[in-house]
Amino acid sequence: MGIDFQNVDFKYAKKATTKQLDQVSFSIQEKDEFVMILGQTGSGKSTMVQHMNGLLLASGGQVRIFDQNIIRSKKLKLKPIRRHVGLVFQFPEYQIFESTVLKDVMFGPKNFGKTKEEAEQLAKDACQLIGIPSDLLERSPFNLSGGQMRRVAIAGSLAIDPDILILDEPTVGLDPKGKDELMDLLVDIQQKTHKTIIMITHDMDIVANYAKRVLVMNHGKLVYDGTVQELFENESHLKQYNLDLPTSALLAKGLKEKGLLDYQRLPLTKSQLYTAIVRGGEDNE
Amino acid sequence: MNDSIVFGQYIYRNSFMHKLDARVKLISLVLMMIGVFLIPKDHFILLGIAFLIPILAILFSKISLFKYLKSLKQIAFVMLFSFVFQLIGNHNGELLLKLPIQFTVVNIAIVVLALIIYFIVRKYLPFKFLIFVLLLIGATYLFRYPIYGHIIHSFDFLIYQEGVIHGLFLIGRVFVIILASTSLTLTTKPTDLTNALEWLLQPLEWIKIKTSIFAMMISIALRSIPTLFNETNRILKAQASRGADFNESSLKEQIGQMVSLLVPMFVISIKKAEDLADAMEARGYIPGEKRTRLVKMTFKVSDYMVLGAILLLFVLLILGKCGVYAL
Amino acid sequence: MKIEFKDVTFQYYSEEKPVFEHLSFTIEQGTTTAILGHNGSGKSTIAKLIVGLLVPNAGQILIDDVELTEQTIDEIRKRMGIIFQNPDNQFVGVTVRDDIAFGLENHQVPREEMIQQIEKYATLVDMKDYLDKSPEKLSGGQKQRVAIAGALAMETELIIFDESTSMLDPKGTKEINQMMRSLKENFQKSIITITHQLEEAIFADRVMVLNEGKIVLDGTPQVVLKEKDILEASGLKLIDGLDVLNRLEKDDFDHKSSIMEALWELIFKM
Repeated sequence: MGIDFQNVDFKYAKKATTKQLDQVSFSIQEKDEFVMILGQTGSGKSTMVQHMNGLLLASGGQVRIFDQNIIRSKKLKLKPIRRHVGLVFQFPEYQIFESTVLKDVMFGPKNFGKTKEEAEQLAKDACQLIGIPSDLLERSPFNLSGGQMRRVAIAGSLAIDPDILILDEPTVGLDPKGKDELMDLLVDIQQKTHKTIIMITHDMDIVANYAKRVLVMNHGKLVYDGTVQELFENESHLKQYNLDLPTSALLAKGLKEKGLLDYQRLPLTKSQLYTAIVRGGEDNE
Repeated sequence: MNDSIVFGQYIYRNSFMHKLDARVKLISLVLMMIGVFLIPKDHFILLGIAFLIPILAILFSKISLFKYLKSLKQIAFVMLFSFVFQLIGNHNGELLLKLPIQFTVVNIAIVVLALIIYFIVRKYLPFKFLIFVLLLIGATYLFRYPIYGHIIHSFDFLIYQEGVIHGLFLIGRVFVIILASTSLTLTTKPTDLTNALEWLLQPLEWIKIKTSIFAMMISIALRSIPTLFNETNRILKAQASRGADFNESSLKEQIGQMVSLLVPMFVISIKKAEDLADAMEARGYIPGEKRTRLVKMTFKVSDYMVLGAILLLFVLLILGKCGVYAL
Repeated sequence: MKIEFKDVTFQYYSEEKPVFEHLSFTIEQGTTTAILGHNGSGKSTIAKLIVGLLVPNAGQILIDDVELTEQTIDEIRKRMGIIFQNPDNQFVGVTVRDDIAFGLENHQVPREEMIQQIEKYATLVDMKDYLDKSPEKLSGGQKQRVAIAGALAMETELIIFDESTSMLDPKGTKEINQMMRSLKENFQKSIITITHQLEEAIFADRVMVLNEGKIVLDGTPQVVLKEKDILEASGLKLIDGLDVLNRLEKDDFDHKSSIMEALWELIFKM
């Protein structure tokens, strides 16, 4: 098992009355999963994700990462865990520091004891995987566009070759085209390398188009673990979790209210909406 | 209102000291500092009177004495050294104690070794300052008796009455000032302090020094501290996720990892500064230009009374110093 | 407030190519204009030029027929407010109250008036209960609302939203978008919103699409949104509904026109 949470609690201070995580239980396989974590700001998504590579340690319950019990103990070495589970934060500015893209991506593998040559090879592979053109490798990462910088940051984690890659809102601040490109790349990487990819997102259109399994956090509790379709079909739950519908679903609902469209399954993506409309026409004949 | 400031030493309480105008507290502190250094040498009665002021401030602040003592701890080493310096340097008055000191290779080695061990393990020690003092006393004791080996150098360590008295007086002075300034920082919000400082420096505007710029700089800096603290935390986490380990690596690796913290810190700070400068400029801020202020500071009766009392004491001291009457 | 760009050329000193050359357009007083473009299209540069944070290399910028120069900028700035992208980096005050006051203090508004203005506009943006809070205690959306209150309190004629929602979560984005709409409806102000999201341009009177330093589309949202090819070529992504409309156009089925009409309407109501 890759990641296994059993009744995990987290509080910032012992005396704190609010729990950032409240009895969270789930598990994620060490390969071939694509999980999206949703929830309002402050619902505990980031806190949960930081438990997955030992940046935060649970106040209660049990966190197991690759069969290693993550407990609060001075003896526990966290570095081996971070070799298995890579975490990329939202803003690349928080980690990029080297003079060239290549050197920056090499930082991770070098920290995990790789030689310069090995690190360079890993870095080049990672850059290729995430679509950084090779002529950028010797450029300064600080002169890149926002989208390219984000890729460098992701490459910095990929180069460590973790089994599980976690991304905290990787698409925020990118323009819509950039978002789609990045998401397509991630799906591609997942299929090629069979790594488990976990990502936090607020963007329901991305969820509708790319998610397989969805975890929803609300007030520190894990309130949903299942498929996308089921999540969006249940409107009272959505409201309770403070989540929106994807654009296409909203439009489909609007058309249905006007009596212009009928469907069994709520269309979530634009192509589903398109087929629903066209097929709806045929049914009427 | 109590959660509006999360940084600095400020501790929120509903007390007389907290309600006192920041300007009164600041002026009082300045007068205290001058006053304490004007007190004639070794005049313990006057020092005692000066000591009463921070004691009153502590009593009226509703903050536990422990917090005040904590601030004394930071400066304890300085106080100790100035005391020892006085002991060694001052050769007036009656001879109190004569300690023959004899340096030999062996006892120098022992003392040096003890000091090295102390500095290595001090991280884990409780009462480290106390242990340090004991260590010094122990060293003096050790030097009195040549344990073994050739005596390299020997002299008599002489302690005179005035050295002790003056040393104590010196410590007393620092003690009073530290307590007074701590009671200012514990009971005054940093923003109020900046406003008070700006008000106090107003006369400098007449000679064309733009004090408002300094005040703005200070308040922006204060405002940025919690943000920068958060940013540092984020950078640490991001680099830790890439395997940077600040506990388990060699010195050489640690230097490289420091760079991985510092560069993003600089980049982010500069970006923030640029953005903030743009925002301030767009909102019509022109450095040094006249501005109206939302914050209005008004003296209350209690403020006048405290200020009056402090001023009275100060004037009495000055008059005494000038020889109007004998102190 | 009328804004006129006449043959404006601008280049960042560190870059090889100018952001735009000979750019000319006019924005009429009291209108809401959306400037659309992908990241790096130069749309934010326009905002910084209007508020005088950047100076054109050539050409003129006229505000109500007065040229923007070093001499006129201080007076003109009093009449415009701008909400930037990053909510953290534009919060000047230690508390919400201080921050709203900042612009008023700069413009030497008397203290009594200041207090009234702060009260009034903090209420308007629904931040009255947070006046003594420090920025660390606020969400991104709340911080942007404070920035809006700061601009409103100065009673500016123009408010520019420079990608003000791009760093916010959906809740914050919704709040700010609703606020923009209500400003448009309830105040006689000129509004310029700069964004890469088509859905944020829909409520505007006029949409300008910028690509590679040129205005490639300019008109009402109804007109602009129909130009799907140019929008896509400009690096913008069509709203899902528009994309569906695009594909439906080529098909043939019953009720086609009524469904397409309804879809078009729904897009504008979003």
